[in-house]
Formats: sequence, structure tokens, C-alpha cells
Amino acid sequence: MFPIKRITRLASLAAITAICAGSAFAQGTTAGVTINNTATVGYSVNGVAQPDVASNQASFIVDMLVNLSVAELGGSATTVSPGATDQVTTFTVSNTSNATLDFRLAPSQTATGATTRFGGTDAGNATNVRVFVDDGDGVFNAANDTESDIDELAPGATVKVYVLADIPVGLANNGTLGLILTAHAAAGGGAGALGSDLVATPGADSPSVMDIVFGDAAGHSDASRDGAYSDSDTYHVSSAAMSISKVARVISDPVNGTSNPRSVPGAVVEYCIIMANSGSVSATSLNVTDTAPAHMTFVSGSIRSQGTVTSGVCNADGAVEDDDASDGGESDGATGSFAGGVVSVAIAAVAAGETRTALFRTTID
Amino acid sequence: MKLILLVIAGLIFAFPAFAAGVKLESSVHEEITTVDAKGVSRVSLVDPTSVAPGDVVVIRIAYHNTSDAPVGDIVISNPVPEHLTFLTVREGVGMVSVDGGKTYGALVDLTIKDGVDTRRPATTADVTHVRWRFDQPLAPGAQGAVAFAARLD
Repeated sequence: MFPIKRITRLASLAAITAICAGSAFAQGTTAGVTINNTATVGYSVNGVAQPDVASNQASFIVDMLVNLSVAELGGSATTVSPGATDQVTTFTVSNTSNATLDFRLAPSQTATGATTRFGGTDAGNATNVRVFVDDGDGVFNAANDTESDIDELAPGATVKVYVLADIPVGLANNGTLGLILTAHAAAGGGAGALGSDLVATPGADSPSVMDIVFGDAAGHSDASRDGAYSDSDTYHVSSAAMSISKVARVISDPVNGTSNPRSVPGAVVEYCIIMANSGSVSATSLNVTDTAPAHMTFVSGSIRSQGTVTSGVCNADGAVEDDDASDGGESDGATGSFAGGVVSVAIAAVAAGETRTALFRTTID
Repeated sequence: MKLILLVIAGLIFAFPAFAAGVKLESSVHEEITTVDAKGVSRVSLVDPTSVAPGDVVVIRIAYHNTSDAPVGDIVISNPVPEHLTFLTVREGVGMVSVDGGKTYGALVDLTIKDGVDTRRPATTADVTHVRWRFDQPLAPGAQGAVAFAARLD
């Protein structure tokens, strides 16, 4: 008797193993499995044992409990520069349902002016927003990560999803752009094709049918038990913030020399153009031009670049430039030229938080 | 042994429930906990609206003496179905088995072999069978029900 029983139990175990193959037990009994219950009764009549009687078989089919989560990965904003393209933010999408499902991925953007994830105010919208599903290597690669929706994600499985966008030019330093990724549970089963969005089965349960039950929580911008989940990530704009000002002072005049010089004909006037970068990153390839004022004559060889400022006063420092637009003679990374009445100074970079000057002198006609 | 064979026969062949004297009717219900405005929670049995992993179901076995003679030595046995984890007996004085129906007892008295020479206390997850043994004969026409709760894995 016992061998028979053991074989039967082994056989039923094997059948269940086959049903659940490839799925994670952590998410519970696989949707669609039939649960059967039968009881038996033994009894006697007038002290004589009677044959056992079995009950009917009460059965129900395990319903599909749809549950999923979307999570921003990294815990911080993605730092971007204005005008940058294909900027990547990373999310994970997890299938905690008891069935293999597809997931439709829908990116959206935080409303301008709303608070973004990790603090800050949304400064506008990114452009060219796209979604790509990781191919399994955990690293974004444009050549391999080409799917825009998740296909056949097993119960308990998690996949990385990359949202790419282009950053508009003209965004202020420290501005933020919020992105939202929403995953919608969709019918699995058709490998290579996105199934239809799942719809919760309305009304009472039919024990003989696999109903669809939404068990998901409310995400960043979706409701609970809606078959969807969302989370938000942020682009943090790191930009240079340039301001420019110009001051003039009289260096000397023909009468007083350098002692209390006056703005009389023949006096030398120095113009100082102050370039301040209050942003977070270097400003590069700066080019400042200034037309020499009327009734003034440019002093050849007077251009200096990359000087410093102390308490708002331009210091008499910086690199001496040679009045042509080539750096060949100086090799200091900057040029100062005078042509057609216009002074041009080109500077390679002004680092974040620094101030640099361009100086030139003229004489009053 | 006869009993076990019949249980297996019932599972495999869906043995018909003919009324030889005692009739059994097995049914599945969902246990719903509702909380009223005063914060009092109330557990009720309803027809299953939907059964998904983690949900609690109550399996109820109604018995009925359909004969015109009293029946005695009544023993109702119910193997815990696959994918269900036994929680507690809900109706009747039931005993449980953790060894496939060989021996029965109160759960607190049962142990499970967990090493060469060691045994640990059995838990609800170890329960394989539930059994109700009746002390008194069942009068002609008498009926009632026993039940146990289980959670869908």
C-alpha cells in the first residue's frame, strides 16, 4: 500500500514541478493552477464498518495576482549639460506577479514648476525621450538594448530599463528636469510581441476561470491596484553661468602723469572686461569682443588676457597678447587681437566660481 | 490503509459522492476581514471573489446522514491540497497529521524529524491531513459541517 501511495505523491509532485518550471516560487502559486479538495468519511452502522465515502471534488483555479514595481536606480539625479544628447537615466522594473507578463513602458515628464525627485523645481522638458530595455548585461548599449517594452518577464524577475533624452540648451545652472517611467502590466505568452494591457476581471470570482486581480501599490504618479507602477528620476543641469561687466579707469595723462590722472586728450584709459562664472562647470571657448570707443585710439600691444580681480578691481596681471588672432607667438591658450576697430579676446576656459579679465588700453584723441 | 487508498482514488478519479449513508459535500470559501467605522474587524466567509497567492480560503465539508439508521465511528479525513498551507481548524474538533496521514494529534504535540537524531516542533506548514473523529453516532437525517482554513501559497 505504501509504495503505491508514495509513487502517487511523487507523481503529483513531478506534475507540479513541471507546471512551475522556470518561475519563481517566491511569488506564490502560479496563476492558472487548479486547486482540488476532496474529503472522505469512514463510518459504521450497527457496529459494522461501511465502505468509505468520498466527497465531491471542490476546485478553484488560482487567479492571476498582478503586482509590479518600478524603481529609480542610483538614488541621485543624473548630472547633465545643456544641449547634451542621449542622457541616460536608469530604472528597474520588477514582476512580483504570479505569472509571466509583458510590461508596456511609458515615459513622461514632470510638469514644469513642479517639485522634482531629489529636490528642485522642474525647469522644462527634455526632448527626444526614449525607453530601452536592458538586454541582460546591466549596461546601456545602444546597439544591443533596442526593445522599448518588456517581453515575457518571469515572476520574481527584475530588468533594468534606460530612459534616454536630449537636454535643451539655455537651461540655467542647477535647473532640474523630472522624468517619470510608468510600467503597465500586459498579457504575456506571445514571445517577441507586446501583449494587451491587462484589465482586472470585474465582478465575482468564477472558480473555474483564472481571473485577473490587481494587487499593485500606488507608485509615483499612479493609483494602487491599477496594474501599473511608476517612479521618477531627475536630470540635474550643471551649467556655466557667465556674467560680464566692463570698467574703465584713467591710467595717466600728459599733464599729471600717473598721479591723479584726468580724462584729457592724450590720457591713457584702460578698459577691463570682467567675466565671472558663477556656475557649476567650466565655461569654455569664450570669445569677448569690444569696439574701441569713438575718439579713442587703441594702444598696440596693450591687450592682456586671463587677469584676476580683487574686490571688484581689476589687477594689472594676465598674459600679454600680441594683437593677432593666432596663439602661435604666445602659446598661452588665449589670443588677443585688434582688427577693424574691434578688440577680440578668446580665452580657453573660465573655471566654475572663477573670474577672469580681458584688458586693453586706448588714448584719448 | 483502505482509507488512504480511497483518498487517492478520490483525488485521481474524482470518486463520485454517492449516498450510501453519509453524504459529504466539500466547498471552498474565501475569508474576508472587514473593518467597520468603529475599527472593529469582522471575519466572514463569502463565495470566493478571487483567490490569489496569500489569500486565505476556508474549506468546508458538510456531512449529512441520509439513511434512516444512526451511523457511528464517523471519521472525516481531508488531505491538505497542494499549494495550500494549513492554518487552523475552523469548525469541529479536528486533529492534524504531519506524516501523510499515518498519525494524528494536536499540532502542539507533533514533531518533525529534522536531523539524524533530532526532531523539531511541527508547524502549520507541515500539516498534510486534517481529520475529525466523532464521539457520538449521527442520528438519521442529522447534518453539520467541519472546516479548516488554509492560505494559498
